[in-house]
Amino acid sequence: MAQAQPLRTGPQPDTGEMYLLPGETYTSISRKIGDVPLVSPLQTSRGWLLGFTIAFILLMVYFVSIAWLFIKGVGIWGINVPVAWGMDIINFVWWIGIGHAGTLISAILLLLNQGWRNSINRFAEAMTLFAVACAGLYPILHLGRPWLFYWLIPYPNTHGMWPNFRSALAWDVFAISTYASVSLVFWLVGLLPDFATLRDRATNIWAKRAYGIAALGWRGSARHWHRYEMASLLLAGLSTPLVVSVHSIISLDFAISQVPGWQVTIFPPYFVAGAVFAGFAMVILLMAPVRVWYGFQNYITMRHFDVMAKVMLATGMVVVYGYFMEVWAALYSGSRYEEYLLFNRLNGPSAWAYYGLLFCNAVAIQPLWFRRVRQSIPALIIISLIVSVGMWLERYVIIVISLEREFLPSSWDLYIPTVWDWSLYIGSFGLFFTLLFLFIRFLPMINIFEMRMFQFQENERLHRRERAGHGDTGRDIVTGKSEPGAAGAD
Amino acid sequence: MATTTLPRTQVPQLNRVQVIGIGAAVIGLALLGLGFVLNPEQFAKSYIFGFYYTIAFSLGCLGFLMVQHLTGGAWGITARRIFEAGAMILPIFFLASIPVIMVAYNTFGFEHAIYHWANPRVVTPGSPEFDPIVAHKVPWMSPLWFAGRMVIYFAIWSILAFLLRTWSLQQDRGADPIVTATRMRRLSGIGVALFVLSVTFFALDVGMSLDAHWYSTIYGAHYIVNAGLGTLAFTILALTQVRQTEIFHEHVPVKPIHDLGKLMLAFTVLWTYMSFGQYVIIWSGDVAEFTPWYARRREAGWLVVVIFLMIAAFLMPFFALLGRKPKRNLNYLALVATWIIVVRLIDTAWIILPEFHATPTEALLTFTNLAAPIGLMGVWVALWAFFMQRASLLPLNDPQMENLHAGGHH
Repeated sequence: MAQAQPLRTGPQPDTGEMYLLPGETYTSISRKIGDVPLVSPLQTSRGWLLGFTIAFILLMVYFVSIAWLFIKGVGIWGINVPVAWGMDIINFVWWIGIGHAGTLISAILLLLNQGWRNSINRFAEAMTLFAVACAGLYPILHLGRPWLFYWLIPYPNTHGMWPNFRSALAWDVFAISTYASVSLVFWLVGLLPDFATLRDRATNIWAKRAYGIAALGWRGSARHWHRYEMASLLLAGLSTPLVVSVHSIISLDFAISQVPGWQVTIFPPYFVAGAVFAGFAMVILLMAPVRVWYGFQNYITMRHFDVMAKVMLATGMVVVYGYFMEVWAALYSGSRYEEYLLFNRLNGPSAWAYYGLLFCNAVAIQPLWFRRVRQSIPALIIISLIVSVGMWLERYVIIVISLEREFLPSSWDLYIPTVWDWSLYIGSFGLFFTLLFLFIRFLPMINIFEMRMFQFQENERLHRRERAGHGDTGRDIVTGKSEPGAAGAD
Repeated sequence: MATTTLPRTQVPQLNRVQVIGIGAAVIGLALLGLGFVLNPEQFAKSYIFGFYYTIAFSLGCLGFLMVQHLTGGAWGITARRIFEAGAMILPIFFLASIPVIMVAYNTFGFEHAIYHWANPRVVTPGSPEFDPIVAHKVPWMSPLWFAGRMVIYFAIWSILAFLLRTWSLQQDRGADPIVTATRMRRLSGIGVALFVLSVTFFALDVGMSLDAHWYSTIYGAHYIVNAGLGTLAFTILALTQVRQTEIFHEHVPVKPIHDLGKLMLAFTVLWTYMSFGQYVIIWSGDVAEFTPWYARRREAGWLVVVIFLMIAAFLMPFFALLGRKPKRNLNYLALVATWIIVVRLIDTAWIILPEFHATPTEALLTFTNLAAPIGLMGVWVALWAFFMQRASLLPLNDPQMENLHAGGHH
């Protein structure tokens, strides 16, 4: 591979048609991305320090909430009977849903040959891991005696006790732990060549050693690359069914019961779509500031935001389809419980959540049909924020509204979250952002070698087009896909 | 039509396919006619089954036609004309829906209306057969509104198919490729939303409401996936028939074929996922409202069909399509595709026919159950071949054509 020269130099306006703005070379890519983690500790940017401090304080809130929970038990929360699942499970589903966008980008889009994923893949995958960490803790904390969580794992024991294999709650344990471990391995394997780049670029001896150890002796030989490509494809193949299975099984946690509003056959695909929907909202929310802070506008372009917004719109419409089918079922069924559920959602004590969800997830995303909105960062940030709230409300509606008023009016009760419910939720942002800030500081946020490869492919494309006589028409040069994909996600 | 002005190198020669289609149509419809004379009620039941199976291919074509306008990609541009031709059958197939509407009106005067909700005695309070749950659905499930909805569905589908085809042909004839491509993409965005809603309700009306009590929110999505899977398999078979055309050789590398193979694998898994998801939810809940539908499909020998479907509709195509090499071989894919199309028929039979037949043997021995899908599919294939020969095999002026060349020949 010869050093590719940029075809056009000088700054180019981002017209939203390119995935990689011109003017980059292999060296500039390695330098811009690779030098962020290599900055000496004393030169760490103030913005990073400020952000990390806030996140760290929130993390302490998280720890205090957990400590108090361990001392007093789950009675400090607002859960009761009948609403035995409250904000703990809402937040669990919300966080794990957010994680799904990362796997979609890193695995499914890799299998679909969508080259544009290269520049957001690493970051999104990191987001997945941290979101799964936040999510995974909730059901464990909800156990009542969290220190006995290993009882969930089937192993021969003196109690003669096994988990109930017919329960989706037991499947959850396997699904989430498998998902977390495969995602972690996938992410680490993807980091190997970049660790080696950092090792080679580091001037500080300790940094050199640390990255050297992490690189596991990567030398970039043809055999290394061959095995690397093979491992990536296999891990992507493994992750793809996992990402679908995790949220499907979470949906079954609800759907295998008889609670009105839970036993809904559309739940598995509707939950998966909702997860991707919320996840892309979060990727947009995080990417928009980070790319400006670190000057990555050439790598994460408006075209990326455009495509992500389209995915958000498409998955959002699937979610709306789910809402629609639920309403249809209530009206069509002739079942008084189904009918009452709809009535309760529209008129009950928590109706605000249902109207909020309809606004956030169904109405607020409609502007994304327009290209101008998809290409406006402020608009995207606002819509993504609304969607994040909306997807939280969706879980609130499913869990709380259904449980508050089940079959027997005599056992109805309201759910009111306590300050500890909220502190644990806010605290989980501390865990998420602490990990995220550490990641930004010590690891390359964008996959360096994939960007270089992408640069090569884009240049090849440009050259091919120019040879073919299209010339510099400006309009659709570098339209993006490194290799036109199969079923593109947009 | 501009058939004569098209060079021979661009138009697929499908006379043989057309003849086979017409042959199947004649034999199938003749037998179906005989069935009508012998037993009109059984004819009506078989007709609903055949119609529900056949139209799925046109719906799949319309769906993929819009999806490929939105996503682009080499597979889409390769199969676009196949999808267009399949979708163009929809306006004509409105005629095929008329017998179904007549069944809803119980025009033939069967004692027990095939659609339970169409029986006035069932929905009239005070009658000994009165069923409050079915009566509850009456404003929605009434013959008039059923017929009205059918007209709406076909109107939506026909307009979408017609516009997309017309603009695509205009592009062939030299209209600004960017302008026409943008127009088709925009229509497809809205079109997909309309399509999903209309096909969902079509499936609920024609298929699900055969059991007037039972409902499942995934039923519509499941039918859409079924249609998609069948259509992908048909597309593979269609490619084997058009590959002799000169422009196919000239422009189509192996990549789009590989992509279609991948999509077929994905849809096989999706079908399994939805089928299993629906089952496990209803099995676990174990509520008397939902279980009868499955009970009917497990008892009296139907369980054999279930086990067959697990093997034939999931395991076999899944492993057959898992490898990379097989997906790049059109002949091999065609073999798998034929299998999938046959299994689609058995799956549709398992979904529809237990409402009419207590045992699968009874269903199999009823000759109209085979005559209906064969006859209607014959008509469908003949019409498809007709539309295919009216246009160039590839939309040569479309900007997406670049995708075919960028993939290279592997």
